[in-house]
Amino acid sequence: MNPEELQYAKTHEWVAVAETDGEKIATLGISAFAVEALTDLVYIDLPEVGKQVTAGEPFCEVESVKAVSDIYAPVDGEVVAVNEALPDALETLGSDPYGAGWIAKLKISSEAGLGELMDHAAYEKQCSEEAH
Amino acid sequence: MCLTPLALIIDPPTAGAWNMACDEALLLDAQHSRQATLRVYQWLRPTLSLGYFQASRDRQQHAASRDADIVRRLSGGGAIVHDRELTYSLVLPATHPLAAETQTLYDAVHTELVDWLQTELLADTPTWQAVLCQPASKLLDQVEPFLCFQRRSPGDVLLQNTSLPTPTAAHKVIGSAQRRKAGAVLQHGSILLGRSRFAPELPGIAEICGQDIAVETLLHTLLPALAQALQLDLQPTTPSQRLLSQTNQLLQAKYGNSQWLAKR
Repeated sequence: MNPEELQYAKTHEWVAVAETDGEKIATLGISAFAVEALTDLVYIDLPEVGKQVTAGEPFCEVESVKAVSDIYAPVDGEVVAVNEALPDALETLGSDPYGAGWIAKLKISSEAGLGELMDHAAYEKQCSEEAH
Repeated sequence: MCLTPLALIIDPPTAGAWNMACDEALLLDAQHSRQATLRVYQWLRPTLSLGYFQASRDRQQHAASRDADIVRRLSGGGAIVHDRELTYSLVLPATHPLAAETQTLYDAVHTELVDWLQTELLADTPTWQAVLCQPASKLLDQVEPFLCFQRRSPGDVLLQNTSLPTPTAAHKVIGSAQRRKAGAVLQHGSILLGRSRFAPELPGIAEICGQDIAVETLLHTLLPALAQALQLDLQPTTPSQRLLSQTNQLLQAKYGNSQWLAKR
């Protein structure tokens, strides 16, 4: 996916929304900026398919060099798929964060969280501010 | 210079589950109150604490600690035997500059700990030098040892034998691990004071330096130095009723519950 066409949460998750059979499906991952900040990732705990998640609440956990961090759901919805290859290939998050490094797909249940997301330009600005 | 207030809690030894519940309560509080806290404590009984992602069955790998209590931490990293050991939990809100980057906080704390070891314990012991670990890059499929003190991460505090400057002549005596929530951070750290019969393969500072360390003496010299290095203003306090209430809730719902230990 082209990172310039994605939407982003303040907590560094990216979102791509597509419509399938009348349902809005959000594919989620974490940005290249976040992966770099987390440094060497060693574990990821994927959510279970079927889990209901709420925008702004943790839905997944990762461990980098001895630091455990939450990954937050950018929208409300139900987990309908997870990237099962990811736990055994965490380097993918760094090498292809917007493609093979996707984490989960959600069936969006409410559009409320979508309005809080940033476009690429706004997200780049946030990253620039955090880096300084 | 305007220093950030740092609440200092020195707790008496308590059970592992309570210790972990209290640390999570401090982290949750920091998310809302912007309160920075340093809590220092020991453990009521010898206890093995698992890193957040470690499997509980893996304790069977380590025969010496099988009879010790066990608890799962909220922070990452490897297992620690808390016996002749001092634990600290440093909690910083998202607004504190040191909370932003994982390694920056490790390095800030551990650099001061190296200086403290060098000044207070090693001044008359030229054979040993306190250094920050700078390990070679790990291989992707490299399996980490079960115990934290047998692992090597950038910034770990090692005591290095100066007459044998090889990696095998260095012993890790201080390690830390973090948990991050919405920008706030809990850094757990462990200072290995002496060898435990529950982890006899790990010499502590007492065996390496040839002197026992009184915890009271350690706190008297270390805490002010640490606060000064981090530009924090130590303010001794006792746990608030709100913190104790939150701790008890977490104790009941999580850390005192076998499901938490069996989570992995």
